[in-house]
Amino acid sequence: MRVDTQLTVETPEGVDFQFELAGPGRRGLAMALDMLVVGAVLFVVFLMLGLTTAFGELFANIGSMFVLLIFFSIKWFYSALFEGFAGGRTPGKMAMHLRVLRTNGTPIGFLEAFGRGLVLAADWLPGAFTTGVVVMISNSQMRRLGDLFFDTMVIDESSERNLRRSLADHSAVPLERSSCLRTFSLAPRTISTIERLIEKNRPILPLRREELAVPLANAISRYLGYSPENDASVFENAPVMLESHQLDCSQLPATCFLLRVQNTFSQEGKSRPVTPRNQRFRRDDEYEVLPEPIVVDMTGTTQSPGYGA
Amino acid sequence: MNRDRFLKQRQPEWQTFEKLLSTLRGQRRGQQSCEAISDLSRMYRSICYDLSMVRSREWDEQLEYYLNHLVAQGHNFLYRAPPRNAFSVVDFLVIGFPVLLRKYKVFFFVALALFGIPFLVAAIGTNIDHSIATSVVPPKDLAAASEMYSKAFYQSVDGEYAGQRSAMAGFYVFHNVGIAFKCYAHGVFFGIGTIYQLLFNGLFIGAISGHIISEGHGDNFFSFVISHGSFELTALVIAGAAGLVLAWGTIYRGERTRPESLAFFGMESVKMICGAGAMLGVAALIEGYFSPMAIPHVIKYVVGTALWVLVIGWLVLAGRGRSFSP
Repeated sequence: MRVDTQLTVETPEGVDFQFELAGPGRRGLAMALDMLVVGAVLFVVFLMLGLTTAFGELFANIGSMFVLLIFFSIKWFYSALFEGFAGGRTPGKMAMHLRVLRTNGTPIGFLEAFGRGLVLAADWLPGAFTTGVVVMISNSQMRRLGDLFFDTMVIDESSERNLRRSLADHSAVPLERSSCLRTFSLAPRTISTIERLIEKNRPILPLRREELAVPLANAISRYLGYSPENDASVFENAPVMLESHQLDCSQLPATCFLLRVQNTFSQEGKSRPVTPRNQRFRRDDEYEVLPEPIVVDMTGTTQSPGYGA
Repeated sequence: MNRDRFLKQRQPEWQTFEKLLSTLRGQRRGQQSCEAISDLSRMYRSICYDLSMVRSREWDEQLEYYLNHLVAQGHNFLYRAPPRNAFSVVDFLVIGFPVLLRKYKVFFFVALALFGIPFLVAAIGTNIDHSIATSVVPPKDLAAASEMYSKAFYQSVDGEYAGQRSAMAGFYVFHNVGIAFKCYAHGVFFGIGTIYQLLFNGLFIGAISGHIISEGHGDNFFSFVISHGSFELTALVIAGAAGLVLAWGTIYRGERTRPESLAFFGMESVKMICGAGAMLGVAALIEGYFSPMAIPHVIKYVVGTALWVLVIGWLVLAGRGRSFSP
């Protein structure tokens, strides 16, 4: 089971979209802001009612009708009108960069917005949004009752911008061309898999990351035909830094290997200025690259890792 | 196909798509031409195909982002709620709403029983044994109600009348629609909240009515309530029925998955509550301005009966023979 706040929606055309779901905290803040807005509007309206009484009883009565109607409209239609006609966002949601969408990723209409506004009265029970919070934490998409009954969800758009999180800084030495006997290129998709493993702020312990890295490193090293004997940098014992911690490459060989692969083939790795350290190595074309038959191990268990462990 | 040929061949269409999309974005719905929209949707589908091609061949991540962005924009533009104009709203309220209600008539009659039986029990019971009324309604409210109906309402239609009745109309909207909406929303708890609200409101209104009649203000009372009661009481029962429909999604699933069934009955019921809300708005206008008018009671009885016939006839007959999908 995925424990994640991301939701992938597939369109009828078979294209995937990813949404970041908003949790109770941000949604609660948005709601508090909305309450402030409503409070301010009502305050102004009541002030105006106070003014109408100055013009006599008739105006006061008609004024109180308008006040009641405005109060009524705000109470029941505030969220419905904003969410239905302003792209799924109330002022509070705009401030918190939240948006209500249908669970298939399309914008909501007035009926959904109105319905979830009404059911808010039930989510509020028995007070302070208790039912809503309990329901939200008991389903994986953090939907309250109003969302469940009208097929909506609330997404967090502020994190949409940094969905591709910054990569961990590291200074792994790139692989040398001569050490890869089969091929010296890697599909971008494979690199992004590595990048996902070493992303910044991923809550993962080094040893667990090593466990996950082992099968990936095995597969990549087989694909590249990597042979550590031809890799001069193995003997350099170059320190590998990951997020300002020095990795112990004898304990975490697979992680170190993946970092080096990432540094070799990723866009960022290529544009990075070459450190003086790397310049000490001989240029790639000075090695004679011999094609070697690749041994494909179907079981994947007997072969020892070929990346220098 | 190789990557360069692909780019050369497809790039013009991507640029056309972008241009067309930004033109259409700038126009209102009425101005958008059919040809442009169908062109856009055709190009959108072929760009979706391009995107999956680029993804599966892993040609270029930058290109993939660009196409994904195009697809996202197209998706946002093409997939949205069907447009609703003023006509479709009126059409729904006048024709679609009765059709929808008849589709869920079982729920309506259950709600009617849940509201009507306690109403009659309380009203008749109060006339037999007055202590029933005081056990349901606080004596202070009972006294206020019979005080209110003990006198004729207004001598003339003048400025004072207009002012006070306007304030009361605002109050009726606020109060009655609030009860109806709450009755509906509490249906999410497997219908228990709705059933409680219906039973309680039935008992409460029944006890007050019975009390007023037993005090001998029956004529004042009936002539006042008969006109707006047609819309108000019916709408309250419909709100209860909508709450029960909402609850039905939590209980009955049929061939849908649970989330689908919740969403389906949710959308059906919210249409019903929209209709009920509109009816309560009409009721508040009648209750505010017509019901308390200083005219002979006979006229009020005639108009009130006509309104009941109108409401029932409308709900039973409107839109028959028309397949309506609001």
